[in-house]
Amino acid sequence: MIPARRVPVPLAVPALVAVVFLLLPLAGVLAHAPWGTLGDRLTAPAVREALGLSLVVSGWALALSLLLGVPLAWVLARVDFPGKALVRVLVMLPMVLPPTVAGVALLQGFGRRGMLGGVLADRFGVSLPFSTAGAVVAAAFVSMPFLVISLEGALAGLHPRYEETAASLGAAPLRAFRTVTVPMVGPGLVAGAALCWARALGEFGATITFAGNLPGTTQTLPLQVYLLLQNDPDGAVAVSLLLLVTAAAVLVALRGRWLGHAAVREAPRPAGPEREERTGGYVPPADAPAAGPADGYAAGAAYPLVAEVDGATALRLDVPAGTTVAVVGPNGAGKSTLLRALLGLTPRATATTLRLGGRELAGLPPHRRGIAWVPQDGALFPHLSALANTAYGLRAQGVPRARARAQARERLDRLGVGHLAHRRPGELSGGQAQRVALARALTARPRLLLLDEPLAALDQTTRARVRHALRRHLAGFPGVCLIVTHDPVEAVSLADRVLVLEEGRLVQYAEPAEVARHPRSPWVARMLGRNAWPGTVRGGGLDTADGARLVTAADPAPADGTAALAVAAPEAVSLHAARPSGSPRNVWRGTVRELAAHGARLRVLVSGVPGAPSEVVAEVTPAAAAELGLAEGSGVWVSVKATEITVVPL
Amino acid sequence: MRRTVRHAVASLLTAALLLPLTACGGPGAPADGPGRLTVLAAASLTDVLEDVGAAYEEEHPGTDVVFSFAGSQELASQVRQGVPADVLVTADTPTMDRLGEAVGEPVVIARNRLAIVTAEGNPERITGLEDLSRPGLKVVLAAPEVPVGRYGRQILDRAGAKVRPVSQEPNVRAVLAKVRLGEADAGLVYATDAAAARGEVDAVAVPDARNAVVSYPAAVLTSAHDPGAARRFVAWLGSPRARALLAAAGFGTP
Repeated sequence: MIPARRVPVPLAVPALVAVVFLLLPLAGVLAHAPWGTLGDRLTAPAVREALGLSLVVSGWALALSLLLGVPLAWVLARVDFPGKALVRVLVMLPMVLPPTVAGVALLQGFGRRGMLGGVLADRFGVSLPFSTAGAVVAAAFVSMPFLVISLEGALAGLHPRYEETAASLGAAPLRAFRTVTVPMVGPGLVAGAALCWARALGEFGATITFAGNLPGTTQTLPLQVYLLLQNDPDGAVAVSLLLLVTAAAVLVALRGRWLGHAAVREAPRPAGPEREERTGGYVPPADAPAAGPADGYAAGAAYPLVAEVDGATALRLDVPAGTTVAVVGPNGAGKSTLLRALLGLTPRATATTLRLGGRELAGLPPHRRGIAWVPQDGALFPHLSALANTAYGLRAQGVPRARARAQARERLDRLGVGHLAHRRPGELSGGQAQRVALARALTARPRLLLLDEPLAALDQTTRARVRHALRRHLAGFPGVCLIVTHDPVEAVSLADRVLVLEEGRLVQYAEPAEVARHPRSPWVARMLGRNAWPGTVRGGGLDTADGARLVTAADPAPADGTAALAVAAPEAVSLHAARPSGSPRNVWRGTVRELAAHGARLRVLVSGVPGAPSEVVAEVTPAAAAELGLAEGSGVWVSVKATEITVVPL
Repeated sequence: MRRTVRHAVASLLTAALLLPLTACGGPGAPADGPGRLTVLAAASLTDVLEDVGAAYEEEHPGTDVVFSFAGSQELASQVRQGVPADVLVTADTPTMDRLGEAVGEPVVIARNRLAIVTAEGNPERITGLEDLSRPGLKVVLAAPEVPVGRYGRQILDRAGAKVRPVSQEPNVRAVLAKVRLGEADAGLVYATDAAAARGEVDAVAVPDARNAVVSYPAAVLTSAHDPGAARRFVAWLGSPRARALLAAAGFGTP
């Protein structure tokens, strides 16, 4: 809601003129309405007949538009095909075609001598002109584009991840369309339908040209108004008033209804952490069972993952059941592509082999793979309660409603969000929403679970709580879980294995401790907060790629010529005001580039002089920093003991 | 350079958009321009009056006659709403008479008759009014609110033909269009309209005894900006040259 504020004059004046411009003619109709005889005029049989016909014709035109226009809008918004732009322009044409021309065009198409009309008349004896069906056709022809254009806009604004998540929960495309797409574009659909109906109700030119004018058959209110205008202007005003009031009543009713809903949906979201403390901070007691009998898996079920992915991301995975794998890598390394390839949702990479518990799934559509996906923001369906969201997967798989809901409720309880079951996602805090999203994924009984940065959007406190919940509930999961993350703490604390991706290729796949000790790429070393210099092993040391030499004490030292990474923790890097004397063998001069607080200590980024490592991060106490007089741009000496440098062969 | 071009285009567009505003701004609206005569005329006069107007302009240099054609009732309601015009010609006297003080004394300038129109070649073999009541035949009439519709019903009633039209069109040209496009099998229009569409439709004449006599009265609007010029035009409509043009188009003369 935009807060009330001073409206700038250059906007206020034209806006006011617009209001007057649009309302003055209506005011004229009201002022000249024959109020005294209005009742008699409007209850005249001819008027009642025309009103009834108008409602029937516009209602059928709307039904026809919905039946054909909704799928058309979906195809235009979601499917790429050659000539799409042209098709879009052509189906919008009736909006700008003068209605009488539209009527003539309809005659050429559906008239007795028209392209299709001729066939209809000869084969089936059906003739559209001069019939109520013809009036419906004329109204639908001019009004359908209004529905299509407004619905297509709404669909284009709907992120496909909701439909994709629905598919990952087991919903076939048509079901996803019905249960997710249509309700989510509801307001757009209703606005389009209202516009379409209003246009159909007021339709005149195409109707009189194509369907003619016969009371009771094709004479709708606008046609009646037109004829009345010729010898009974008062009657025309009265009937116009009826048309106006009918349309306004329907539109106001619809708007009220839908704006009411929208208002609830867009209720200001409670500030995350605050709400979390009050209601969502509940953490189940430590002895609450993390896995229960209602999980829906057969006893002893286990789904190890064997996959071969080819394309922009290419790798082979062979992961035992029950393993949690953290997928890490720089931006653009192909982490999301890996997940989407496993789901079958991207053309950029495909799983040529995909076995879960011995069943081959490669080639199946996403909704038949049994792979649950939790996108970064959870992608909870905003129109469904937390409970209905959680039960969605089971319902899609054909489980009866009551049983699906019971299992969903139990899962929500176990995740500590059972008391929020009736809430819509808009009324949940970030942490609560993530737990519901996890509950929804687990309740669908997946054989593989994919979490895309599940904690990224949460603040620190909430993150710790959700991480805790995640760890407890992944423990009972009989399949493999892949978690994409940028957070080293998350990777180390949640995962049994860390998978490092770079440029779509697997760089390292090992236990977290091993990755921390021996990171196989500069990126992962830095992610874990370490200094890493790639280079070549030579004579008891390492020649770095940036032309420096580091003395190392690796034992046994890798053979000369081996490509390797020299890794050192920031705490092992010392800074000095003058050249240090004594044992350190790696000493160089540099300039402070950046100072940043890191917990109670300071991280100092130092760029080296030519011939020294180009960058190094040191961690010092604030007291030491003060003593050294560190400031950005100041000169400093750097030293690292040879024994503090680990050499990781690449 | 580029910018200047864009500015020039913008100014041109602005000028083009503002032009019509200035043109219709003052009290000297086009309908009332000096030397300009605006004539509201019944739709059935569409073709012939254009020729009559051209002849009048030829004889009266400096005068510009413009026409606005529509159904007579529609024209009458425009007059009631104060449309800026000088002369009104309707297709029946009652419509003219109902305008009362809004118009001056009407003069009948032409007469007309009704005729049946059918698709070319008359595939349904229609010979007279009685045939129009044949079941299954798609007949369009004009709505009873407009003169040709009223005349049509009068002569059908007199002939005892119970016709159930598939549509009641708002004016005579719409009736003709439905038959011409092949949507309707037959329609009742003015004989002059049937003649004008010769080659596309067939006309079946209705004998005088069973036909209606349609009168076209012309009158000067009380609100005419130059009543003298308007009166001269109405008087000229009775001149031999005007009558010759009307007769050539199939109209009878009073």
